[in-house]
Amino acid sequence: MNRIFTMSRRLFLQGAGVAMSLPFLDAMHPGTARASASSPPAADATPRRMFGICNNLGVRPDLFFPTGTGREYQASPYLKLLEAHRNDFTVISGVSHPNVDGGHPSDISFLTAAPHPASSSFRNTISLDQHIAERIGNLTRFPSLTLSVNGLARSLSWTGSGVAIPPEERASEVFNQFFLQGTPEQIEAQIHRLDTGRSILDAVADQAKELQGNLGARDRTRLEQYFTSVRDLEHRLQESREWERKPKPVVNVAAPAELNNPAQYMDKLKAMYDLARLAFETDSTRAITLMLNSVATPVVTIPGETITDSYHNLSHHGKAEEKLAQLKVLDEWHMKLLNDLFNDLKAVKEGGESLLDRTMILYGSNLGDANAHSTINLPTLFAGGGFRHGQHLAFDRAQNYPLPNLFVSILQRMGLEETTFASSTGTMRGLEMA
Amino acid sequence: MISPMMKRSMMPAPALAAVWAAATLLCGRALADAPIDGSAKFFDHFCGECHYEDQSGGLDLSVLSFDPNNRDNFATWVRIFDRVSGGEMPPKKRTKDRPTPADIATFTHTVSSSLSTFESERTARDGRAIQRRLNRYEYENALRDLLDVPWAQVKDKLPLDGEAYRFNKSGEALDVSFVQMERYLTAADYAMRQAMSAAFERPEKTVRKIYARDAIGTRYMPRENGTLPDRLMFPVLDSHAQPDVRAGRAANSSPETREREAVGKVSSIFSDAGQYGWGFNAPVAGRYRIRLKGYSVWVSGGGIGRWFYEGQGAEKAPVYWLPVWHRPNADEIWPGRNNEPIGIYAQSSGQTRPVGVMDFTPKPTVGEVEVQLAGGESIRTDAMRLFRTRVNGTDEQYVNPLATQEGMPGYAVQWLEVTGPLPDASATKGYSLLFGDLPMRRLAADEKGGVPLETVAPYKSPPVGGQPGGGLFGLAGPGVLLRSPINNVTVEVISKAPQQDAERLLRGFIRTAYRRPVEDAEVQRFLGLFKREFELGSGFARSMLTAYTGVLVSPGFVFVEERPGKLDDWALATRLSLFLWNSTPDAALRARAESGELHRPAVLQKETERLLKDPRSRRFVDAFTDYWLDLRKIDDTSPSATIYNDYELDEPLKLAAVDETQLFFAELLHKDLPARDVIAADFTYLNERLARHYGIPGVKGAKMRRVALPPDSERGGLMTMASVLKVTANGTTTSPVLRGHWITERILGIEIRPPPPTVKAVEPDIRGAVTIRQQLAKHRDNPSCAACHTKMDPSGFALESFDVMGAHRERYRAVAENVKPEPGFGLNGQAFAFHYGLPVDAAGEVPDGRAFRDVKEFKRLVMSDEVSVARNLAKQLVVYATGAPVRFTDREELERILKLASARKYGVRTLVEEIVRSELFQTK
Repeated sequence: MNRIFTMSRRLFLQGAGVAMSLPFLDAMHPGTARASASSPPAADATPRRMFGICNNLGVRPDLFFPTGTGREYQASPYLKLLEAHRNDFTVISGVSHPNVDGGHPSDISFLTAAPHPASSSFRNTISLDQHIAERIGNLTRFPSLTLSVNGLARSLSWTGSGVAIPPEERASEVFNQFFLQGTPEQIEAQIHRLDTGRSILDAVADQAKELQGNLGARDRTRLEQYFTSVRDLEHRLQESREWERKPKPVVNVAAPAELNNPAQYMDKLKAMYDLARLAFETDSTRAITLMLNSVATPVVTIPGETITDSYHNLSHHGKAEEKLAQLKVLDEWHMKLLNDLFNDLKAVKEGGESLLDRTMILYGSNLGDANAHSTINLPTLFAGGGFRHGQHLAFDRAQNYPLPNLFVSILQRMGLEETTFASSTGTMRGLEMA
Repeated sequence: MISPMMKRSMMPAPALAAVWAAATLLCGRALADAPIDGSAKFFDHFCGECHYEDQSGGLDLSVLSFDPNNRDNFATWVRIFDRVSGGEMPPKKRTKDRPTPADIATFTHTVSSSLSTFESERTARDGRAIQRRLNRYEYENALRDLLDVPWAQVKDKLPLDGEAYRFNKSGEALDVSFVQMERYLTAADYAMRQAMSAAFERPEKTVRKIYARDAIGTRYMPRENGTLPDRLMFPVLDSHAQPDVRAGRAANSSPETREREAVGKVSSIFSDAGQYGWGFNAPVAGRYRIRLKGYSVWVSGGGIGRWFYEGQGAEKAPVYWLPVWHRPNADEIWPGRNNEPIGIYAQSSGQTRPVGVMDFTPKPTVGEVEVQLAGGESIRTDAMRLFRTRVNGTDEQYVNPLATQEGMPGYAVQWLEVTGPLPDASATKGYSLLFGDLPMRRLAADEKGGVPLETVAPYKSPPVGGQPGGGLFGLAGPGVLLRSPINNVTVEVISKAPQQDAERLLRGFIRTAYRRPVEDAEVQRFLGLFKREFELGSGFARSMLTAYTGVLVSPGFVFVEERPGKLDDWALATRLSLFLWNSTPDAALRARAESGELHRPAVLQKETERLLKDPRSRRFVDAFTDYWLDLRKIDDTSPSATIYNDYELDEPLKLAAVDETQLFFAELLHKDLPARDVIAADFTYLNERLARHYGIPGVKGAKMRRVALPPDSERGGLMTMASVLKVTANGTTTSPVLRGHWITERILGIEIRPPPPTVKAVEPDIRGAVTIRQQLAKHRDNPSCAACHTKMDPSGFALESFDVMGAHRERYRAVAENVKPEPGFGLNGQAFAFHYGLPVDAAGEVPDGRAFRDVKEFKRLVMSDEVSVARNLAKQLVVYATGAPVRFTDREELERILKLASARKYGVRTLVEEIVRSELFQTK
């Protein structure tokens, strides 16, 4: 059974395991909700973006982590491939999510930091991108975008309602949703659904006003709060509605080709990076997640190279030279594609800055060492977004520093006044905004 | 502390009042700013020495006005009243210028009447409690009960509630934001579609027998270097190994042995890789009977610790290997030496929940459990006692803590049989409420409109002997994680007379959903939603759901509607069911309200008894203890992976601990046992794991059961339960102050002021050079600290005999580089890093000076004041039941309740019943 998950609202509802309901409430517009009293950045503030990438087999730590610390670090073989952008990224060692253990199942906690994902009573919590989407998602047509390579079953994005957002696997499909004008019929259907929501809220707001009249002063305040919340929600639905009438952006690139073979891992990855750049460039969304389900990937096709084992098997190298060498090939491709992504984002200018300066990219893994299923000392690369980069932040490899602190820094850079996220203890020490 | 004699200009007493009055006029302060009449005189004579310039304890009586609208001010006056009338103030140490009993009487009387007058006026105007919405537990239960969807997961969709007076039952704690609104909309729609799904496809009850050899697969050998055998599965037949099957030289299954074939393991499936499932997904939400057959085994050691392979792809073959004594040798298996507790779990989208337990014995047995599953949920089974492999750093080396030189325990499962969905008359009740007997029709792919429902793909049996090469199940690599089998269908409900049907159904729905009579205008309001939607062409079902959603998120449903003064029968019914069922009233209770009889004492008593006797009263026990005892925070901290890695990952222990407390309190309630049993009781609820944790012999098996405690046991009562001891610790260290404060406030009912802001928190020394008790000695030495700490610390010291998970300890655990750790391995397979350090000193004194040597003596001392214990429990119940705490003017009624309950030894059930009978419960 190969259900194709598109992003059109109606079919999106029929996604696997998504207990979504009325369309105006679905994952496409979580911008209707706001969990805290903190006010989001004004609509005309500098747009900032976040791109979270998890390679769920990680990379060879011996070739990834640099020697030396601070600004004077000596680049590792992998980081040498990103040399041109040395001042645009920070490499971080000695970090992990507190209490996130359990080996492979920990990939779904990568952006949530929910503890013990492999336990017999695990419930996930809201992911970083959804937290952002809830607050500023209404500023763009799509509040967030959840992607994956080779993995429909593993998602990085989890809503505040405790539901995984099924990732989109097909770049071509996303492209259509973003840039293909909807038919008038489709647009009317979307608007209809938003109007339904508003009519429900209208009705209950009326009732609240009526009931308030019969209450004492103290009780009235509670109904007043209800009434205000309803009006708040209506306002946001109205904003969503206005997006429907706006024409989609026009782009002068061809739609990406269909890639159906899981072995085309690197091609798929490249397509996703291109798509992300396009999405940010057209301000179609500001929060993207990409799960690289390496665990589920068979033998990867690399032009000019011979790979003889599936990705997961390679990661369990047991120190076999042959496997380590092939793993290095794959890892280096990851670095090369990241390098290209950085180049492409730098080439786009927006408001006197490059798009890279306004986009925070987190490339990392839930596994610090796939061979050992270790979930500490995660390989973490953090680029762009307007921070003072060009350094190796080296935390304690024996007592890891909490990775959620990076998430708090990201949230603050996005313009949100958050001071905590999951098990964070503050913002990331040593990481300053530019 | 004796304050030095101050030189103050003391006005002669009679002139004082005149001066105050003059001062009032001069400063233009309103009379309300003045202190309570006559109090200034009292303060001048008996309090000013400490509480004017010195502001002892932060209280400056020279500027204290009476401003009852200000909550803090009101509380201050109450405190003054309490301390003076209780004889605590002026302190006994002060022997000069003490007030006479007449002085005290006059003063306290004046204060009391000022406070009471204000509060009574307020109560008459606003009621005791502020209006509130349903909290998330109540909303979930309300939807589940209304729509007959007991499996629906609604609570998790709603934001966390706040907390006021320690519960989530007061308006002050229950805000509405538009997050709340949006989630209500999502939750209501989801719950209704669950009701429709349950009625859409009622698959016939089927029996599915899934053989382990088929489902779990044929991959017994690892394919990569370094895969440790602890996580692998192996074939077992009649408690013995099958090396040929394991090596792939013989078929995985053969007809002669099929019924006896089994698949074994020495570790938990909740390890860091190598999970497996049975491949069963519940086709529809409902009840299922699960039977599992298997037995325990014993596996020899000397298994392969390291393989080394040569070659790639198909030519890959092992070159040599290293046997290790604690690795399982799955080619040598023997009958089990002990029983193994088996947990049964339901899982969907990577999220798991426990649903049952059973025991495997060395001889094959079949265990049976009935569970409620949501559509699409899968079943996992696990031996809960076995270790859960975790790496330390990057070295995937772990040692099975249960391995001995003679081998290690394991288990073998033969088959899983699922029967269901079991016939359930209530399965279609939700649909009937929504759509009556109107039929549902599945829409074709090209048809517009309709409502999407989730259904589950039809079950496909795996081939006999399993998928060749492992396939979807088994150790084919954890990358091939199970896809969700959820499909989607779109349905429409067929109505031949939509406008009439809509009005008829909607009227019936609102009448059932709302908890009071419904005006026609309200029906029309929501009918308007239907009409609008229907005219736009959304179809009957979608349009009805739109109207229904409106009802379920409207204030009429979401808010608890009460008027100041005596509650009418409808409001009384709601309050009663929110109290005893944490949900909205059922049909029988509504009938009593409708007939106007509910307030009659005999009827009310009968309904109270009915609700208590119903299994749904368990929700009251769970929700009440979740907040009173913070059981909902059981997962907030994890045992330290260094100091307590024998507890880390031990979920069965944690779950048993929570069960113990809930079952215990449920028994206090149902058997009307005295309130003082919360301090010390002669029984508790245990299973084998928890009994072992407590050192109580003779309890076998995974099921929780009532156990009479030996007469000299230190267990019994809430304070010494593992759950309470865990939530009052932080996974790494215990603090007598935190534990003491928790116990003192929550169980003994003594309020403790927060510490002065300048006091720094004490950092426990985990290196073990100094005990926490030694570090806290300063509290005893400093009199101003001692005031609160003598009240608070004693229970904390008594409980120092228990570690972060509630096990008894004679010595503290510590970690230091130069000290050899205790030998042994934790449940994560990693070696212990702790050693035993300084001894525990659990002795202390209760505030009145009586000493105790240990927790047993402490409990005896506390038990002697059973009225206080009962009073505190009653206070907690009052907040829970009414949404407002026992305030100044409520005290009399509380004492009356206690007096009535004293005849039945302050039985918990009696307290509940008396509260229901009282004015506190029957007025807003």
